[in-house]
Amino acid sequence: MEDHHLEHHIPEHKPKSYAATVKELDTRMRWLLNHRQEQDAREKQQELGEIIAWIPELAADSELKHKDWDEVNLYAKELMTVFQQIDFADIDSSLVGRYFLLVVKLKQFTAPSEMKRFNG
Amino acid sequence: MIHYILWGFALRFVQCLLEAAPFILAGLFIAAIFQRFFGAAETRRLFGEGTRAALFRAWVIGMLLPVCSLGVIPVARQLKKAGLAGGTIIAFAMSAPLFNPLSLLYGLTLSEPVTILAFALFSLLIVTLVGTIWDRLFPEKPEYPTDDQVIPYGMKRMLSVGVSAIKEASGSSLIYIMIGLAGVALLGVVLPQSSLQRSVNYDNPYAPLLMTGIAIPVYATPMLAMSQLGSMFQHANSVGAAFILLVLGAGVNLGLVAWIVRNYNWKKTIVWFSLLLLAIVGLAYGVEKPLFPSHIEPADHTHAFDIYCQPFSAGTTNFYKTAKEKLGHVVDPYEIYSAGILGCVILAGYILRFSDRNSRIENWLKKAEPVRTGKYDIVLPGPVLGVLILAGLIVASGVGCFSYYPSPEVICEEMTIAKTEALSGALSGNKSHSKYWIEIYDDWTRKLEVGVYLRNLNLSEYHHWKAQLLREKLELLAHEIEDEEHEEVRQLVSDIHHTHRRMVDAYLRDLN
Repeated sequence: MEDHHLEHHIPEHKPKSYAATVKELDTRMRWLLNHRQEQDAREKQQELGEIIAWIPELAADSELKHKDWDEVNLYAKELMTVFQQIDFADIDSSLVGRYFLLVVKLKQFTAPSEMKRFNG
Repeated sequence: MIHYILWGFALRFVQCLLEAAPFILAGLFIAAIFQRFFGAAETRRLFGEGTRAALFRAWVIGMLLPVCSLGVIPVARQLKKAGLAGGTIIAFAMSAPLFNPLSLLYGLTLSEPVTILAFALFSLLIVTLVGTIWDRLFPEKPEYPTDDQVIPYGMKRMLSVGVSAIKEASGSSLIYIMIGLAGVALLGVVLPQSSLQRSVNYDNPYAPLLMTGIAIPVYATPMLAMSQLGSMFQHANSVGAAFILLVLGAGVNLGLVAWIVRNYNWKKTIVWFSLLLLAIVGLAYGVEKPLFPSHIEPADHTHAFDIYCQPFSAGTTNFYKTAKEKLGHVVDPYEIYSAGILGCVILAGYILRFSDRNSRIENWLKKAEPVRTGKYDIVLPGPVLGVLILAGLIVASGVGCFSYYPSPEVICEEMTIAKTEALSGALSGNKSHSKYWIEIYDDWTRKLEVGVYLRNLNLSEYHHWKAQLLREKLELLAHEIEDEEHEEVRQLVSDIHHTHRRMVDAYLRDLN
């Protein structure tokens, strides 16, 4: 029977919160670096790209204030540029280092992203 | 079955009539101003008749005046009487209903502003192209009216605008307007309920073609077309279909087509229509990929076109009650008042026609009488006053924007009411109540964005995201309510509560 249910598709790999996003940025990159030859590496790489693209949205869906969000947005853009430059067949350690440095910077906003600043 | 047909037709007819009433009134009075203040010669001069700029001027004037595709009919008739070329009139008639200041501002919040601006420029391209080819193919020998119909200055001229408008309201314009309304009402009878939900998905290569077929009889006010465009972008539907909806859905209706056939014969109309479709469909396929909102996760449907389908679901028993409820949900008070005034104007028109068959009133109006003027009482020429009145209309639309899009403080208060009603309806399982308030709630989030943009001339990406996220969650909530997924509804209600709080904080306390 045809399914008449109207779907709003939310990808399974979309993190639930900003904090979860930052965690994914770290663990997924580590996995990719250690499993470069695996079959689903390409797919995981694409998923990580999508997660990076979702950072501004997920940061906006948190308790971050305007000023903090602007910083996160800048880091997210830079992170995307760095990620796109990484060639997983021939790893450039300086790029990977830059990637993790940006993840650390993004991690600084995890606590304020979960703190209710207004209305208790 | 017969009940579905008759009630479906009647509901769609009345709904569109009420939505169109303010624009039809505006069109009647704009036509009267062209007739009485400008007269034929000055109207031709205003539109740059005979010059290369004529089509561009028609597009600009059309864009600025607050009319819809039904309200433009009396204006187009008046332009024809003034002796304007066919291409210029059609360029005006097609561009006037596409945008007005309110809808353009609304549109800028819906997708990338560049998309809406691109659509506006494409519409200029189309009317210029089609108008130029039309005028080349069918060069008309200018037939200028001998009677300029300008009324000398004074109270008579003011009175003549009203007389002109009420006469037009009860004349041929009314027939064409009725044809236009019948077209969209018939569509509601022919299309089964919710049958267009998946037709314009981004991956359907025939979506623009299908939209072409539907959009011709469709009647949409500029604001309705813009909100439907918004829904399409929100769902990442076909961009080409969205463009066609704007140009044909808002710009053309069967009444306007009937008027063109009546005035320019079948052959010319077919040529015009073929050119138009060729240009629109060609452009629609051209913009499909470049303007596609790649950052949006495509949904497999849209509810934007439910209003063009059969309004009654199977199993409806009390048609009157359901129709009354549906009308109450979509019609605003100002539309009801406008419809009342329009009814009075039409009635006055018939009374005037029957009581003044010898045009005594018209002759009296045209008769010049000496008017005493003081030393400092300067007599302004009619066209100057006409331009001032039209400019006043445009300024009033601009001022109206501030009232239609209030300050964030006012909107947040109104939004709290909508939130309470929508979420309590969702939790209690009252589908129709919740759905009704979700739409209002969604609308307020858009007004919030425009309201801030109008006042600050800037809206940050952060604030746009805050409103956008709330809309996305409201959309999800509407679906979970429909599917009766109670646990998901509870979770979403809690989530929306937090998203709402964060959005209000951002707009009221963290704007700079």
